Amino acid sequence: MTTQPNLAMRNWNQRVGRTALYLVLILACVAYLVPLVVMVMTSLKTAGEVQPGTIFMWPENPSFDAWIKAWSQACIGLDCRGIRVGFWNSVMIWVPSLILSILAGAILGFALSRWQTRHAGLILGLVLFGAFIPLQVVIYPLIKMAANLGLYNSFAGIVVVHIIFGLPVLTLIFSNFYVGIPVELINAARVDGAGFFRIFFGILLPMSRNILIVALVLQGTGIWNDYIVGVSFGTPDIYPMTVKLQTLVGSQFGEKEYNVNMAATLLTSLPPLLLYLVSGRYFVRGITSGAVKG
Amino acid sequence: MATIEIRNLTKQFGAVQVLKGIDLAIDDRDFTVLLGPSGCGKSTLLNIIAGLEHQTAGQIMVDGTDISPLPPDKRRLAMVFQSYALYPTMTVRKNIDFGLRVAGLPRAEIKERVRVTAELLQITDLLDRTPARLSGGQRQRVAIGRALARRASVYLFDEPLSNLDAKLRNDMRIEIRQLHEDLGATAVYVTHDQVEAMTLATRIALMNAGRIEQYAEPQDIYDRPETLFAASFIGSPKMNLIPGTIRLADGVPVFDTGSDRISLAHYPFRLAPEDGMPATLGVRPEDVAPDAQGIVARHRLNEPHGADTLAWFTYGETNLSARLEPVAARALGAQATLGFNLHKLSLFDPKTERRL
Repeated sequence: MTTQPNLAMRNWNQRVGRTALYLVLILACVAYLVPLVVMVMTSLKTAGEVQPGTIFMWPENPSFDAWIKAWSQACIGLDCRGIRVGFWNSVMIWVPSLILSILAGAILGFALSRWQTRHAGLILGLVLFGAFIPLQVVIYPLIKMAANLGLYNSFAGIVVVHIIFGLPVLTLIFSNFYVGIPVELINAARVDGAGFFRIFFGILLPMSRNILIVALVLQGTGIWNDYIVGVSFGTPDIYPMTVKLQTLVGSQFGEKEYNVNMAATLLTSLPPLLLYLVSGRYFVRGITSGAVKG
Repeated sequence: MATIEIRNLTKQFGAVQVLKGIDLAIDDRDFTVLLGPSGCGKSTLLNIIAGLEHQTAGQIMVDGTDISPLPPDKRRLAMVFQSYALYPTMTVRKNIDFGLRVAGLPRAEIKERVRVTAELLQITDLLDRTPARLSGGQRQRVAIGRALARRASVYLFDEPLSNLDAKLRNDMRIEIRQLHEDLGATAVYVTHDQVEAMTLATRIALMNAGRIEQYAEPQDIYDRPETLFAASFIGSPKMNLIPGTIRLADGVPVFDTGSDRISLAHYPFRLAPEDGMPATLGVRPEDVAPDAQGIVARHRLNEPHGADTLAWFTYGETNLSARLEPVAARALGAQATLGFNLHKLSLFDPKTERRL
């Protein structure tokens, strides 16, 4: 009777809703993509082409000259070896920071969630409290401490700072994940004669792939994109890529080489981007599994 | 070879006392089943033996030495868990030999033990699978295999069969029984299933509210329950319990239900009975049968079980059950005269709830 028109009405409403939804999504995509497209286009232009300021024009003769210059010839301060110096510095910081901070977070998370640790709740609370302290607040005493320990201006010093500041969030992530693992599994291993580290490395770590990838992406982007730790605890010799980039882009001398700057910026943001692309699928899976179980 | 002696063990969770002084001496090669309703403390007791929880007071002696201060990994026990607790990322083989690798046994020895264990439990062709690709029954076998491969002198089982379906549970029960007889190790097994307890145990420790009600051979507990709790917990349906008074007629004790008198001439009293003493009479359903003389009860319904039929009666305020031949049960009218096997009665003091 009245069902037919109602159904047609609902279909119509649904279609309008869909259209509006896609419109919003497309607008959001454009908002995010346009700057990126401009950057890529600019980086492929020659110096002459950049000057008129027609940023939306397609490059006439696309070339990677600016990329090569940014990577190996651009002058950062007095050092004309390009952004690659910063890249290798960043790698030197990145790899040990990632491995050690994730390992520390995972071990602490296990100890505080699935091991009979005294006052585990209190310790977890204190560690989490650290998540609310901005680095800027404690950076001066930290630099003093690093200097006293002989860690100032060394990769080791920067790595230690990254480990400490990664710990709160990582501990939370891992302890939430491990709470979802049945106690009986740990108990079985204990009866089997295994101690804390044997259980951690032999049983828990192999089960933690998804959550490890979450930690890897979070910490990987966080540490790679870090600026303040690198600039505060290092000197130009060991500045990470981000600091080098800022020095390059922010230089007030001479002609601004926008194409080189864009290329250097893209180079700097490439590693986290690759990390997302490679692990995105696991990342989402890990986040949701943590959410459901935690 | 191992004896276990538990001395005055207590466990307190905050204000709640879960174990109220457990004393238990388990002989070598015994298969002791800790039986009781949920919340009676049986799993806590097992976990304390394993070292997974700590007692508040008391000792656990294995072969005469107190193992209480040792962490679980130093106690050299083997344990099978209710949820199987197989290591999900490892193959069956790795699951079984994990404990052996931790113990640092030589490789050849490990290989041999895995082979023997797998053959014993018929899981040889599952060795390279991961637990996710096993059925429930297979997982349980692997869990038992993991415990067996350790060749421990004490095996602990925490309700290992309760996640299996009925048929599989029966099969595994027989198998565990057989394994125990072959291995000759000491076993402590927790369950709330009395059939499991009756069939598996050499001795049952019946627990209730943090205490051991009775520790005896299964048939003993069944025939001579020590407390009212034991009488009503063991047996399905439970023992018939009739309130009344003990009378002495010319020195011969009889049980007075108020309307009938039942002779207690054959009852082995522990202390001489007194006239007028309140008591509860217990009799198993299979010791109740229609008889020319006896109490008169109203027949309510029959519950056929195939091999026998349970006939349900009302006698005064109490319900009575009788396990009868199906033919005899069908022949019952609305009223029946029931007689008891006078050699198999139990008597309890309703105040102390203990056997008289």
